[in-house]
Amino acid sequence: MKGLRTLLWKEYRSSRGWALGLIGSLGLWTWIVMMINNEGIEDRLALRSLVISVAFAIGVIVLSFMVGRLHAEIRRDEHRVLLLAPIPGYLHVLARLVFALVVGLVYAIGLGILVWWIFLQAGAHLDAASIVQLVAAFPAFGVVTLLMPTLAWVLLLVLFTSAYRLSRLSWIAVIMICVGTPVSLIYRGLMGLEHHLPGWVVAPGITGFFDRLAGVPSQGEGSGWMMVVPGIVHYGDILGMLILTGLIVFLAGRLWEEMEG
Amino acid sequence: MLAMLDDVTKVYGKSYGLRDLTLEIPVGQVIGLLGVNGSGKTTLLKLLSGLLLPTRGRVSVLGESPRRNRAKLVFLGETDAIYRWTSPTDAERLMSGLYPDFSLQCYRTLLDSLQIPMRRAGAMSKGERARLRLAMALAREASLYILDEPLGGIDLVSRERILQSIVGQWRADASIILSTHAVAEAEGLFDRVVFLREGILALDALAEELRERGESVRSTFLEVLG
Repeated sequence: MKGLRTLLWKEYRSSRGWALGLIGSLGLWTWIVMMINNEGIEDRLALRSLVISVAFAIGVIVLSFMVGRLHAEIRRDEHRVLLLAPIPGYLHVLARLVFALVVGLVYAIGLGILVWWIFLQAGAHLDAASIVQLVAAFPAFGVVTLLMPTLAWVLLLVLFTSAYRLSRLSWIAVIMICVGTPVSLIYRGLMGLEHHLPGWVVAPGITGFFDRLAGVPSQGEGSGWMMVVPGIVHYGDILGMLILTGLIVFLAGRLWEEMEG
Repeated sequence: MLAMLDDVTKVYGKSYGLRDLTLEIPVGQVIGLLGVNGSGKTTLLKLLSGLLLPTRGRVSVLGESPRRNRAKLVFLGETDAIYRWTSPTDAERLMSGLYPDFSLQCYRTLLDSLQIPMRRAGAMSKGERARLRLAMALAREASLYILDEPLGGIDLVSRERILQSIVGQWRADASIILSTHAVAEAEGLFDRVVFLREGILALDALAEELRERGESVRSTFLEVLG
């Protein structure tokens, strides 16, 4: 445990600029959302939902780059102090993943609060269970089903290219992350992905909330109407992603053990 | 025997880093590993520390592969590699959390004797960073200390402090392997010298025997490798 605590502290020390920058960007997203003041409620909600979706996607990309900086550490040999430590390889991978997930969760909760604010501005009143869904369960679900396997995959790719001295080919990993997701979205569409990649249920989930809100009677805004956010947490998806991430972390840990320095 | 390389060859692509090298490292010796650039010194040290795996042959430390015995090894690489955010205080927390044999008391003594400033590594000079890295390495109570060019690119005053610290931290139950180009400055430390040329063992001799023959390590270096 002492080793894991130290590695988590090391992650905080080396990545706190990225973490604080990402969490600080919530202020920017809030400002952008507040600046959207179109006349029609449907236009306003469509634009605001787009901002939230973009903010979520940017969060995933920023955190991918944050954990992917391991490649630069390896290139500069800074990681040797970790590589030579008598600590299992998977703990090194786990520490990076856990820190990034905690940052991602704080960010996602911030976005959840922003969505809640958007609903309140539209005159929707949510009961306590719906608020919990919106600002806790929904962000946590997104982090576990989408962010967690994505970041584990980034770590596996970085360690693979480093362990087998493919550093010149590391751009392949970057391109896979940056281009692969939009390409797969175009190919299958959001709703198609919802049924194939459980993590992507988050994106149509957000859109679904706003669609539902946009469909309310025109007396909605300001007049005070009740909205119930349904539970979208699928425990099967969470279990599947936990197993998948566990497998990726195990493989990445083995690569860490095999890596030459 | 503390460590052993048994008929070890390391190949990088089409070139040899080391070729058919056999070497035994007993407990309690300070060994000077000497050779010109590209002679295979760093390859040998990385094989001993487990950072590289041999293409052929066997490397062992205390009877096991170096990777299995990481807790008994200290490796100080030649590159100026340290997290730039690391201050001496951060380094203390990092090392004590990762290495069970890290001695806080020894580390603080070394910080003092090596005159390391209390600022982050990114704001230190190269010599100050080298001294900080050395303090982090020598504060461990390991069995084998592998030091690759700890004097490289360091000013004269820092080199003197580093050499004094290595002498001061030496223990009879441990061995030190030191690779350096500063042969004349470091030769007083060595019990034994190992010369490498193009990845092949050129000479393995006790320093005392050289002195008895009226030769210095430096003159032998020039004679064997010149």
